[in-house]
Amino acid sequence: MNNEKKRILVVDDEPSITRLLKLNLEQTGDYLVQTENSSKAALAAAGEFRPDLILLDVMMPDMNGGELAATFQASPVTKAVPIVFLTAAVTKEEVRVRRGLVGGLPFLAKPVNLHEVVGCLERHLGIPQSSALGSR
Amino acid sequence: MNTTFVVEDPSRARQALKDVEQRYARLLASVTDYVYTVTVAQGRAVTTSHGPGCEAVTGYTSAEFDADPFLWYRMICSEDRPVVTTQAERVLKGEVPPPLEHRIIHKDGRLCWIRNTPVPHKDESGRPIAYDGLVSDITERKRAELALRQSQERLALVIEGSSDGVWDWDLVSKEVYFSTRWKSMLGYADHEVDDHFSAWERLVHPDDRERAQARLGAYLSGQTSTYELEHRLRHKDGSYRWILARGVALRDPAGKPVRMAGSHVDLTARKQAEEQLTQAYAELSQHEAALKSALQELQTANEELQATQLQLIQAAKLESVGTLAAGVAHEVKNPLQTILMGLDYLAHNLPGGNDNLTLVLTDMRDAVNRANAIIRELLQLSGPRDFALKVEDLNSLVERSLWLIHSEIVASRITMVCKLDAELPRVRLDRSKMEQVFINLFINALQAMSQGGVLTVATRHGRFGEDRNLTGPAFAQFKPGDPVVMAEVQDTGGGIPEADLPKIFDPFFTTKPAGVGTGLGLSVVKKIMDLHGGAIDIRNNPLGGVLVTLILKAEPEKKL
Repeated sequence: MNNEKKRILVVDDEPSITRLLKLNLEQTGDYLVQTENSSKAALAAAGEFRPDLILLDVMMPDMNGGELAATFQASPVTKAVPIVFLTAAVTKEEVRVRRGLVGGLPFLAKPVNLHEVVGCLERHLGIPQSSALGSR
Repeated sequence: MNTTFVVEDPSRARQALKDVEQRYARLLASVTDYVYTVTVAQGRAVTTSHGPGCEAVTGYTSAEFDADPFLWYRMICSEDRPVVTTQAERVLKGEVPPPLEHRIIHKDGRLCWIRNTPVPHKDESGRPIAYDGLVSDITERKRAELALRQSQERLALVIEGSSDGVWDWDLVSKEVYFSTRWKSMLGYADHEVDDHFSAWERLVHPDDRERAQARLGAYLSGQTSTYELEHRLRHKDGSYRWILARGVALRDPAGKPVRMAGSHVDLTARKQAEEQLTQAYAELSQHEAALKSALQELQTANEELQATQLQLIQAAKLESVGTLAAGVAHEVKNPLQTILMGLDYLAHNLPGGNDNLTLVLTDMRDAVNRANAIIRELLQLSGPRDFALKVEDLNSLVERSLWLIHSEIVASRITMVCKLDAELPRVRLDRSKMEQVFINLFINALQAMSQGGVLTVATRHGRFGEDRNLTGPAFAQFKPGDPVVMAEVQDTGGGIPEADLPKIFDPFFTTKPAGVGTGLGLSVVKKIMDLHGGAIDIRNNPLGGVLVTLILKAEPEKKL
């Protein structure tokens, strides 16, 4: 386990989802999570928070996740930051068939449990996959 | 010397007298002529004496004429008196007028016709001194003349009125009278047709000649009792007219025909009308046949239309559910996500060692997964997402599907019967989707045989249309003769109530107990079959259980 916690920016318009993701991820002790519920706020936060990975919902009212991702990739501050989409817009089958990539970007299909989220984060943060987590 | 006549037998003498009187009376009765004589002096009639025959002709005796010099004048019919007077005056002048026919009133009141022929006598100087007149009773002759004239007029009138042609054939001389109308019917003027039998012969149509002669011959020889002949005669303009000839023959006492006469009726218009009628009738029959077949087609089309309408309604239902599904799916997934994440957190933070707590959390997680399963299936209805067709072997797909639910089959204590066609042609399909179809059907079959039974899975190939059961609007994508591949899943359960069969593919319709299955299975199966361009048929097997037949178009064999 790394000493330094990985910084994750979670963007979803559903506060309950962002809240629970933060609780669950921080509980593992490996992550520091910032949550935002709008694209605008997310853009602002990214510059300050300097995340190691951005977990992004696609369907958001002000700017959809795709556009937000493009904006992140265009900005010098965040262009190197890996982005993972977490969305209800695809099915698990679709994600599986495409080996976790849709349109070239990594996807997580809702609803996911913590195990799946952590596994995906570790993959994209370059962390060796750990089996440290398990639900009781 | 005295001569005395001795009458030996008085009665004989009286009889003889009677005989003579009778003879005289008969003679008198047969007299039709008599002579009168008029003496003339200085151009005027002096005396007139009427011969004895006058009684027979006029009814008056000579004595009566003698007694009344003006009797003869009064006897003349008043309208004829002027001409009679004129004739007399001319004779008195010395002329020789022609005989005069005029009327007299007989003593018994009858009107009679007489012919008066005066014959003057002159002296040496040429002066008339007397004239005789021959009076002849021509009443009968006049009557006959009148009758004849009336008859002729009637005939002419009839001929004219009937507008038919008339012919009158003298069989001896071969001369024929053709009425003007007979000739004009054929476009000829009177002088353009000879009054000879050969004229008719020449005009007869070559194809009708034999028949015409036969018919005529048969009648004349007495073989037939009537003469009627429909034949064609050449019109002056070169065309042929249809003529109906009818006639009757006059025979001599030996039975030999000597004269024949009859009529000609122009049938051309009638024949044309007949032909038009026949044609019209034929056309009508054709139209009737065409109408009948069109009606049949219409009825069939109507039935197909109704069936298609039902299908469309069903498809629309599916479609609306599908559209709804996409929206709902998304909206539901987020709350599910929250719950799942919440469960993870609770699992991590609630005190351990509590079995009930663990059970509750597990139940909640299962519930979320179930809800997610429904969402997934709902999304299947909304569109062909990642649908990829590849040429595959259906048998291997069936076997793999069975293997995937192997544990369920074993647990169910069902007997499996597998009859896979070794020569099954390949088909184009999306593997994962078709696996879903088979798994769905197998699970349904297992659930229908909760008390045990036999699950039969078979594949076969053939040509579409061979199986009479598999026809109708649901199979519209197939043409008779198309090479097809069929898969059958047969169970020995209780079957589906007939009333429910039409709803079987409706979303959320289920015959399973509550909580078992989502009710979406068959809707999704049908959707997948539609996407494959195939068809599915579900019916109760008369021997029990349900038979599901899947039909797919076979891939054409690649020739090496």
